[in-house]
Amino acid sequence: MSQTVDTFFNLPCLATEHPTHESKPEASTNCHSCTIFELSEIVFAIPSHFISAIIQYKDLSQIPFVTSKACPGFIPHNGNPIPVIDLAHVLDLNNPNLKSRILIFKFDSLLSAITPDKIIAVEKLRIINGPIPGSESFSEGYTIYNTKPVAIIALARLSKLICEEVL
Amino acid sequence: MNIGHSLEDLFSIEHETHLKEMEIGLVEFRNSGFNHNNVKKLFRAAHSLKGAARLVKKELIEKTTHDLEGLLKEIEERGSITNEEIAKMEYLISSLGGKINISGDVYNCPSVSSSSLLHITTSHISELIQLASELSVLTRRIDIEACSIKGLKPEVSQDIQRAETIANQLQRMTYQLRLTNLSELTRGLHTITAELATSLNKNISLKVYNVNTLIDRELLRKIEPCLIQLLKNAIDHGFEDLAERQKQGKNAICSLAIKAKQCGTCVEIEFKDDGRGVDLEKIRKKVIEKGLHDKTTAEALSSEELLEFLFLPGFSTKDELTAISGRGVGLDIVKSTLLELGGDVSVRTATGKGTSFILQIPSRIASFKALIFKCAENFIGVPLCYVNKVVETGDIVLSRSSGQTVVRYQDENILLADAARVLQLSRESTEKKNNRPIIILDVKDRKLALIVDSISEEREVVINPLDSRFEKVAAILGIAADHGNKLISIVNPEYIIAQPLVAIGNESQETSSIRGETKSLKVLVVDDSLTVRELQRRLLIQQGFDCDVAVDGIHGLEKLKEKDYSLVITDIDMPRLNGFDLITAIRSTPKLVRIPLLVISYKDRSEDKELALNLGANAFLNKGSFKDDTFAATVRSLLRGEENA
Repeated sequence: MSQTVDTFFNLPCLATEHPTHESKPEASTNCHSCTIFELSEIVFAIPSHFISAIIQYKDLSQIPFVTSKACPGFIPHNGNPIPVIDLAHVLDLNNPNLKSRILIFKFDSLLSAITPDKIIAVEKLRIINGPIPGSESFSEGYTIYNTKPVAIIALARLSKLICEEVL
Repeated sequence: MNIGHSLEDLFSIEHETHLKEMEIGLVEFRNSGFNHNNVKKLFRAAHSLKGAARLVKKELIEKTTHDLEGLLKEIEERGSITNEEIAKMEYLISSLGGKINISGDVYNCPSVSSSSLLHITTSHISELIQLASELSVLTRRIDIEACSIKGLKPEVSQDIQRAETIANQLQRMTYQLRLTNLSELTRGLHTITAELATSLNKNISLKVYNVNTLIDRELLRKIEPCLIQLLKNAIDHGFEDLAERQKQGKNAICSLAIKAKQCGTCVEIEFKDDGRGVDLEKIRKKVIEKGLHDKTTAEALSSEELLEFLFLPGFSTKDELTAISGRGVGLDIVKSTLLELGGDVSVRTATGKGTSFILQIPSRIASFKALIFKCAENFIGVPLCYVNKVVETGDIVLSRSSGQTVVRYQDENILLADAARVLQLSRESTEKKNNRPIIILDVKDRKLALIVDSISEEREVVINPLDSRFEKVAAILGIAADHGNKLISIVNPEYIIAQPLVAIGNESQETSSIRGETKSLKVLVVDDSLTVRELQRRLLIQQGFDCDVAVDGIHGLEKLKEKDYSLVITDIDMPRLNGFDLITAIRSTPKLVRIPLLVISYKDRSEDKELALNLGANAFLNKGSFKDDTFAATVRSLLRGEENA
């Protein structure tokens, strides 16, 4: 059964759309179409307007001196080499990746990809700004899906992480 | 932003005319200082261009000319002009100048007839190239698949082949869109040469060879100021005056030659003058005067080491400033520009005979023949111009020399290394086939034998760079269009051969070191000079330490992530990440906060020392410390300090 961020990040379970974390007193809200996906039995979300494509998993090509544990390889997509980020490794999730899909996103004109285990839904959801306590590095907000808080992946941080790993 | 071509054409002509007036006005300012009429002329040109730019919605040109107007107004009101204002004016005018304007839009080249003019952005060209590359690969794949289909109509087969030919032509043509030849640049250099020669009363002949050498338009735009700087330096103080030339029996006409050639994936531009040459003793004197080295160290510096000082910011051997050169800003910018582009600049000089600057400019987009091989389930390519020979392990004599496995080839012992290991690729399977092919790479007379899994093919590839996040990765020239579902990484043999390599058969020694089975202390040496690196490594091994090396700060950080070290020794001036930034990165990493850090720089400047120590270095030595036991003593002392702590 899938976990949501409350259990993963050790948060109290939130039953309402307006959580009352003490550390987040002034959460601004807005609605966006979000792609909900599962990775290592945890549910995450990405605003759909960042997503360029979701394709079947294909083998990754290693690029000498570039690939790392966080970026284990690249895929060709529309003639471009796209770096694939191992989100499970980045978030320190233990379960092996199922390698079923590749989700390509564009942030700041740069394409990157992640490999979710399962795409669950695309839904218009309210995004609550600010990180969930304990997940500051890779979450830039959260949304409520099926009455549970789901972390919105911080794409800026993730996109930048690739070059930090190379360095 | 779409405007009619006719208006665009007119703007182009007007732009060229006004730009020419501005360039002449600028030269006049440089030669004669403030002149009321000159200010008026320049102002008029800037104002007219601003109006035209506004009409065709060239907003950045409009803004730049507006800034120029403002500057000229200030100069006019004050009645004088400063060198800084001339430099600012030069910057503004050069911003208006190239064939690619400051907004990144490629617009009309004046020499092209108006019927063939095109308005297109560089990003569109890049996309077009990528799509054409993909189409070419797809048609190739379809052609291969079609061969295995039984009963395929011959007409269909012919159509597929025709589609493949067209796709290849399309790929080549789109690729040509990004390229231009050097003649676009050299036209401007001839004008500047003529103007400077007149103002300095020198008779100068500029000859350009191989002007048809192709180069990426964007790169050409970036290196244009570098060539202008070299030109100014040569004309202003590289050439002797007429009397001196005659006294030395030289031709009265000073000769400047620019030679371009394609070397693998780089374009090499040699800038050669037949002037007086660089006065090495004058550099040595300046080094001492500026306190960069003490007298003893400075006297021991070789000519190559002395010439390196020319690229230091603020370093000039000229005693007098002119409006053209002598401020000590110029060569450092040339060097940093080339390094930013992934290239380099070097200098050769002979007293009384002249000086050559050699600029190496890597092509971000290029097409060349590559040898493609398989390594750890990946397709890797090397430009064919670096491949000396391909042999099979069974056909060549392997032997041991100085404890390393070598290939005996053409009376030379060549280090044999595993490609997967050298390229840092991880294998899923540890099984290695027998009789694997060996590629002998030859880079500027240095050879390396790389053992690979299999040879795939030899073919023309068009490479695209990785995106901006990876632009500092010098090891990869680019990625070629995909091979089925795999990408082909085209590696840079020049980078690979400069790496510290482990020969086949020596891995066990390294592995034991990684596992910490050795009790000796590990030291990391970070230095971009192979000689210095090797010297330090040997000295440390003699002292009983384990030593790893890294070629620059980035490589150093990678090593520090991989292993635990007892001491880091670093140089200051390095490409990609310099010593200061490396120290900062180390000290901001919690697990490395206490690691002893020794800085060794041959540019023994007090400000460098102070900064390094402030950033967190524990000691600072100059490279003269290798001559006695200062180096070894400092290393031992730093390591003792760590043990005591």
